[in-house]
Amino acid sequence: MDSESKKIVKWNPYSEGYFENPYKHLAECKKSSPVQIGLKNYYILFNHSDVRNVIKNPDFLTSDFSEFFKEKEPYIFKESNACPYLSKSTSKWLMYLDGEDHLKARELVEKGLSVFNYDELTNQAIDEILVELKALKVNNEIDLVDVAAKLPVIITNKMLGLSNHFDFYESKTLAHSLAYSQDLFLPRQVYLKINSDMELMFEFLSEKYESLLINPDESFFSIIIKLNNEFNYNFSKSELISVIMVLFLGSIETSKDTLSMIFLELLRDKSLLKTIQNNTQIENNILVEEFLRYSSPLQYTVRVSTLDYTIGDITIPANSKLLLCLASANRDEEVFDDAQNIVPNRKYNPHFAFGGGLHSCVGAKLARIELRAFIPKIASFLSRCDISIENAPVWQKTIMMRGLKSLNVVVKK
Amino acid sequence: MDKYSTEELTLWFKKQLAAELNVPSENVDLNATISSFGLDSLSNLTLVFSIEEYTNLSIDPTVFEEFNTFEEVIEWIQNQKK
Repeated sequence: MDSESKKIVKWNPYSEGYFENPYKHLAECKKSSPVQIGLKNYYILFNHSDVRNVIKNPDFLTSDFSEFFKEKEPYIFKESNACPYLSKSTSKWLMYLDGEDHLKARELVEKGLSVFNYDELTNQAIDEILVELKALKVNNEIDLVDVAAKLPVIITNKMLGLSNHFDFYESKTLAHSLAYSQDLFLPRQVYLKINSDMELMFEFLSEKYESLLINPDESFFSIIIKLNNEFNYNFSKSELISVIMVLFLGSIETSKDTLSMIFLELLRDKSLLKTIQNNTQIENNILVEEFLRYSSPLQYTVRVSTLDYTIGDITIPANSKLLLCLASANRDEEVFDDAQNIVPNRKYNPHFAFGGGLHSCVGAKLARIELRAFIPKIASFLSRCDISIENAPVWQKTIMMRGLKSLNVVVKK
Repeated sequence: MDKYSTEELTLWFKKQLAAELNVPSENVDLNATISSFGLDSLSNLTLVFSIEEYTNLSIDPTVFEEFNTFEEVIEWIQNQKK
């Protein structure tokens, strides 16, 4: 083997062009060394099989996010008058809970969500959006990220009972800020900004909680307060607020990012729009799964080993942090034929867009309903849009969740 | 981008590190190894963010792994500005 072929491509999300297109770098990392020790001593796994084995293995726990903040808050808030909201706001974020704590919180959420008619909520929201799009003037330049965000914002605020409190832009900004708190490599200055957004939301939800105790309504928040008492879950007020916050961010941010990245792919290859318009609903459902694989916002998930774990000739010691690269696994050529391209009728599609194992996304059903209903209905509008030449798409500079900051288009006749 | 002299950057780094470590700035030796400062990853990132704000440079948060001392970081910053 010559020295060139031995050279390892080290994982670096700050490598040139990563935020615009991480997949080239990830494929190079995977090819060069599919298990790597990277920044902050994370073990990073790139192969689909390795990711699958870990994500489905109950010996691996999630990292305790709230505990991380608890430990770091004295540092983050030194010389600051702000009150710490980071740890308490994240105390019941499902994706960072394990064991009984996780099961209990997940059960409460699933019970609370089960009363909602997702199809009805989605179709009402889509009708509202299509009316707005119809009223747009020709040659208008609009940001499709806003169109993408509108669907989950309307649905989420209606379900959680927040429609009259946070307007569209507030909701979009807050959801992004909460989601961003989970990103890797954030400095204190950013945490302070996120903390002020968490404070705003937490304090509002705190007042809302008190009013719902006196005047219950049909909202998810009101329902889980009732379930909490009826079934003796014993979650505190602060913990229930944390549950609402995680659903708010999960529901809005991930659907916004997924939809806006799908819009981008449809505008890059408009033949896909024709395919969608000619497809049956079942064929479009298959295409939606392919978009989820190809354009998933969820790029990584973290697990912590409880035992020594061996992959090939590498032994990962107990208590190590693993960064499972879902983005790389979703484009693994050993699992997906023609993995770097969109294959509209892909049959075998074991992607990780919603994570996997015990912690698979609790909102996956709603997300699928949104995508399956919205994409065929917006296809005709998208066929009248061209990506703005003056204002090219801008990517978020985020690692854990990929997404577009803006996707400006010009609307034609 | 504004141009800073070595002296200005040295003073600025000493002030930042003194605040991070809760020590007088005259006790900060920029020629000591970066690892000897015992900064955890959050402190490192916070310092990188402050450097970005101060110098207007876009900096890879892993920059300190490339250098042994903060004097080398200062030299690197000055080369970026040329």
